[in-house]
Amino acid sequence: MAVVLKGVEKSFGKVHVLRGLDLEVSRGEYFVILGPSGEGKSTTLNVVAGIVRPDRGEVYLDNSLVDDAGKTYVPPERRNVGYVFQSYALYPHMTAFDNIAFPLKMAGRPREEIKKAVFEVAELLGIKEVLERKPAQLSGGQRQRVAVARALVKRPRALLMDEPYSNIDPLLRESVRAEIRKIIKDLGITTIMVTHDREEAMSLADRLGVLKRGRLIQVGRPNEVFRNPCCPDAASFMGYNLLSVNGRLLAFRPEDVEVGAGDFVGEVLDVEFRGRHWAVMTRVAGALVKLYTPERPNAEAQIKFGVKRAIEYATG
Amino acid sequence: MQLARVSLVLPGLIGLTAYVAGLIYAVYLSLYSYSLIEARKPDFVGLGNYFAVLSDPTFQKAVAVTVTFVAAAALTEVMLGTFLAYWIYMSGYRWATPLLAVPLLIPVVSYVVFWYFAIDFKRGLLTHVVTPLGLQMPNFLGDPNFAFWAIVGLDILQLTPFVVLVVLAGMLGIPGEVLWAARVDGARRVAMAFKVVLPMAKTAILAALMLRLIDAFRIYAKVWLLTRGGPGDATMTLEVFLYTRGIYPLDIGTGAAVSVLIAALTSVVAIPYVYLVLRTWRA
Repeated sequence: MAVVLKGVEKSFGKVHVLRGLDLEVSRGEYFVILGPSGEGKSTTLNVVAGIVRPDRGEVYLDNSLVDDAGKTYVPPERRNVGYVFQSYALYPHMTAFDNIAFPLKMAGRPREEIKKAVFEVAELLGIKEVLERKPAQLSGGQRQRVAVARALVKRPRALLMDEPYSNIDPLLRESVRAEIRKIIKDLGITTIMVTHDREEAMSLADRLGVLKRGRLIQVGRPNEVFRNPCCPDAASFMGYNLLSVNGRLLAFRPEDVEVGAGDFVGEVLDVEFRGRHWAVMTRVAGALVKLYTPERPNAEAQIKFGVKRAIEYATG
Repeated sequence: MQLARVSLVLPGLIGLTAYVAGLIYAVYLSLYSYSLIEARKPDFVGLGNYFAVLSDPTFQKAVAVTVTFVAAAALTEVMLGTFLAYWIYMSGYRWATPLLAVPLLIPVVSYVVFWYFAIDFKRGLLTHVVTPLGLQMPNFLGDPNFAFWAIVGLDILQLTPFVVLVVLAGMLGIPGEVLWAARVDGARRVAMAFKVVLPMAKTAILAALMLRLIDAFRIYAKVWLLTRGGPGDATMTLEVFLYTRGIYPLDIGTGAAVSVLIAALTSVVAIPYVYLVLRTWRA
């Protein structure tokens, strides 16, 4: 296992951020932690990097213990991980070249080797032309690539990425993330990325974990988690509607409904055109329910619908 | 619209005009032999006052003393202050920073008098500590070799905190993630200081240095209160020279010439400083 967290707990003051988080990422895997803001995604990466020390639990890198919340603590500078911060955290006083070369200089590698490695990774990421520029003279996308190059250049034991695509132009985001994923996979580098974007998590992850209330409530391949969310929280995060019916909790996808007839009646709140379908926001017995329908529903105050496929959870 | 723009720069313009006008008037006065004590009209002497001042050994000594003082005090303050700022920044003892303002809030006169009562060889506090131990308190202020360094030491003691405050403000502007990035990238202590934090605080450090250099040129109160330029002319700085030769004897022509020379010397530091500030703003 390349990265293992066992029972990691962390509080900041009174806020209990991580509550017994377990995580196993195998070598070369692209693992995505998916979760809403403020659930401890960044804290998890910081624990792996050694920036934050857990209150309890153990952290392993390449099967060796790097933190046991006690005496054992390998500081970040000796962990050999790469980290792409959400802000990119480039060194503003250095050129792109010097930014990327920095980890190798710190490792005391010879100058020729550094030059070769920097050009190589810059070539891969398509930023060879801007190596002499400083971060202030780079576009957002170029900065992001420099940050990725800096994290990859030393071939880290693990690459950590914190919402790396959130500042990228939405029109370019899909192609950029696919391209960078391919580069990382080709280099065979173990990656842990965190995001709050479900689509992004599903399209990039070999496996993903849903982070909720300080632990991973479900881990699996994207299609497994998407089709069989373990529990209402996971279902909700994967975009399922949750509806409590006669003491049972039903989870169903907005597309798995039939609008116009059925057992349920919803109060129509909003109707949006989404291209392939119309999205109807309704309220059913106090719960918000989203429905997709191929035809524009009649402008009624109420709408009837039936559920074609649902997952049932025990309540309580 | 035009009026609004003009009104924004007007206060600065008025100040600048007053300063330039004063300087021009000083240049004008410096060309005359003009004493307020002798009841006669000013005589035009051309550059005579300048030749007299520049060939005066006491003035040459004052230039040497001032330049040495500026170099010794300002450089030490900036190096020591930067080191302390870095230490405070990295250790997180930021609660200590308000205390740093204290030496800057105390009037220079009080500060100097306190210092005087500490190190004076007859009445000083240290004398009472040292004498029972069988040691003799050296007469710092009466010894031409020590007096100058006593004043340098006092200046360092009082104004290093100023440098700490300026440099620390610069360091606190560095995003925390950059420091973590540096550690993740493998930077240990020395690299962290010299490759990351200090270069990123460079503008603040240079600003502190230039401000200290310019301010140190005008050293007056400390010297006047402690030694009046003595013993002999060991602590004769330019402003003390200006006062003793120009203002006190009401020799306006000589005083004006000395003022112009001081302004010229200070400009050597001030002009690069302005250039630096402008360049930083543009970047």
